[in-house]
Amino acid sequence: MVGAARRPMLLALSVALLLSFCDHVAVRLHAQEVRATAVADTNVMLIGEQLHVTVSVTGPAGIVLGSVGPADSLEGLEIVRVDSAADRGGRSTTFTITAFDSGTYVVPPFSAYYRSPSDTGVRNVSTLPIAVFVRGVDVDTSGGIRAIKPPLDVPLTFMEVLPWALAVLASAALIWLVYYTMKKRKLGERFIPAPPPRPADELALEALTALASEKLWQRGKLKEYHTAVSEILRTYIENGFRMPAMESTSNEILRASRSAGFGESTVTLLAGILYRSDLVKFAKFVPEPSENEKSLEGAVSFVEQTRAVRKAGAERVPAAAPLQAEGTV
Amino acid sequence: MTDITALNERIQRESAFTDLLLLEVGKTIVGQKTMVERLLLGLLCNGHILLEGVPGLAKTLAIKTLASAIRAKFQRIQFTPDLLPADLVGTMIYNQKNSEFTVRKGPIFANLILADEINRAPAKVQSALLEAMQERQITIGEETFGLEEPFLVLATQNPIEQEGTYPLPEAQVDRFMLKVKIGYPTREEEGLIMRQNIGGDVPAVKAVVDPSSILNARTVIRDVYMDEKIERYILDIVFATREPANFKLGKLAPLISYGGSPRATISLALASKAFAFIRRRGYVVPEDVRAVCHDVLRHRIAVTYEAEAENVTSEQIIDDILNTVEVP
Repeated sequence: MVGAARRPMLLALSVALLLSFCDHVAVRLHAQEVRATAVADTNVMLIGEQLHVTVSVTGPAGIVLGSVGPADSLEGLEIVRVDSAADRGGRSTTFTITAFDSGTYVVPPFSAYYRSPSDTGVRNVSTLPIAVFVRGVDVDTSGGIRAIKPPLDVPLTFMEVLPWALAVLASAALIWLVYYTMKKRKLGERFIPAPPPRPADELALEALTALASEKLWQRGKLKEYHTAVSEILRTYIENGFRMPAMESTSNEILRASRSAGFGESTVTLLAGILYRSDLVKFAKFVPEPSENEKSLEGAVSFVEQTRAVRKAGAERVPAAAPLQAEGTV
Repeated sequence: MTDITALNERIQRESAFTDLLLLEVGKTIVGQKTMVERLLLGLLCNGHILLEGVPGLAKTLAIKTLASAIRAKFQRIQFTPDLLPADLVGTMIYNQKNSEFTVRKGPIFANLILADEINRAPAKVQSALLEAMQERQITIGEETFGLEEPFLVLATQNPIEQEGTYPLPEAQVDRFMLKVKIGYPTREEEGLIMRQNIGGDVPAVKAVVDPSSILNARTVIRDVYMDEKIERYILDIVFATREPANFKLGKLAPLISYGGSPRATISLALASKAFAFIRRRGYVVPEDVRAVCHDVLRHRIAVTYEAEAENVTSEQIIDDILNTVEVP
């Protein structure tokens, strides 16, 4: 009877002991669980900035941990650096992640392999995924549209500048050399002053003498002879009296001669020579030998008569104005 | 020598009428010696003349007087914007009586034509006149009529009032042998003009020359002797308008758009010979070339915008050339 009465009590005690054992075992088992956590220092970052995700794997003592890495591909994200540190009962790995496009990305779970001392199998533990928002640079629309900035210039290098610098130096050296040579040469030379210009009358008389000795008209070269007489006189008038005689006709020269203060007899003498010369030059006129002589003698006489006028008032004779052709308006 | 003497004597004989003619025209036209001489030059060279001057300078009177003095037919045509080529050359008229077309000749059928204010008529009329000047014949319908010699066109242009005008193209201006500019008469001349007109004692012009004398003179002029030195001088002048830098006239190069054409060379040579003829010489001297140079070249040298901006005219360019090119 007693034994039957004590049977429910023993059953209850047994159940209580079993529950207590189970609780103990559960606590023990919980204390030995391997856990992995991933913590990001921020969930929002600027494009190109970096994010640090620290993956910590903890477990009981004696656990053998493998490497920690992403369980899936990082689409749009890039791991730029991995720092790992082991400590007692776990390992902490910091992943430096960046993104070069704006948008929302998911940092995939990180997983780690481990083997517990009481187990021969290799197990895996993973973290939870992390959402990250990458934002772009804000555009200031209030400032209006501006041109795209040009590419930055690459700074000049020494090697690029070197050929130009050498060229400048070489040019400077050349200029200096030329200057130095000329200076040396100038110092070495004796100063010889230019001879004063010979008087126009002297040159004219000399030319007339030379013409006489050539005996052109005696050899039948009438045109050449009278052209030469006329040219000698015109050159004399041009150089001696600053009249544009070489570019003037006979009548224009005679008009200008009157204006220059030549006496009437001198102008008549000149007219005779120039008109005779024109006839020979332009009208096939053949003068008598005496007339040929007369042209030369007259030319000499004209130079001698006007020599005094020239010497007396060379400065007073104004430069002749451009001559007006006959019949022009 | 005998050749040139004979030629000189012949020219003196043949050219005697020019003094008579100038004297007769001078009875009516006071002053304007250059214009009258150039009209005669045009007649003798068989060339046409473009006359530029303000109104009232006796342009019409001069050519009318010249026509009377050479017993030639004169016509004055006033060019207006509504003028038609047929008004100038003539047209075909339908004769109802005979039921056929007959030719009515226009005013261009005369010896001396005054085309007054040529730049007031449109291009087609100008073209009709210039074609007649060049071809010396007119075609009306299917019939061609030769123009009677001597045939001289004297076209006038008014330098003022350029509004609504049709300036002659350079190519057509070149067809005029001479472009003569007329200035005002002197004070003394104008006094005489005043007395002559108020007193009404303008002498009547008599015919002193036949048109045949003019035609004969044209052949004689071609015989006037021109030395090769003069030929070279003419070429130098014309070439200086084209290549001024080659004649120490580099400063003119930017001022000249284009220089004288070969027609300018021909005209300058012919006009120089005619001028020598008027001066009753059988040979050309540089004076003759210089005397006609402005009239032959002033419309044949086109100046650039740069020259216009600096108020440099073709006259000044010719002056510079004449003062630089060496006279033979």
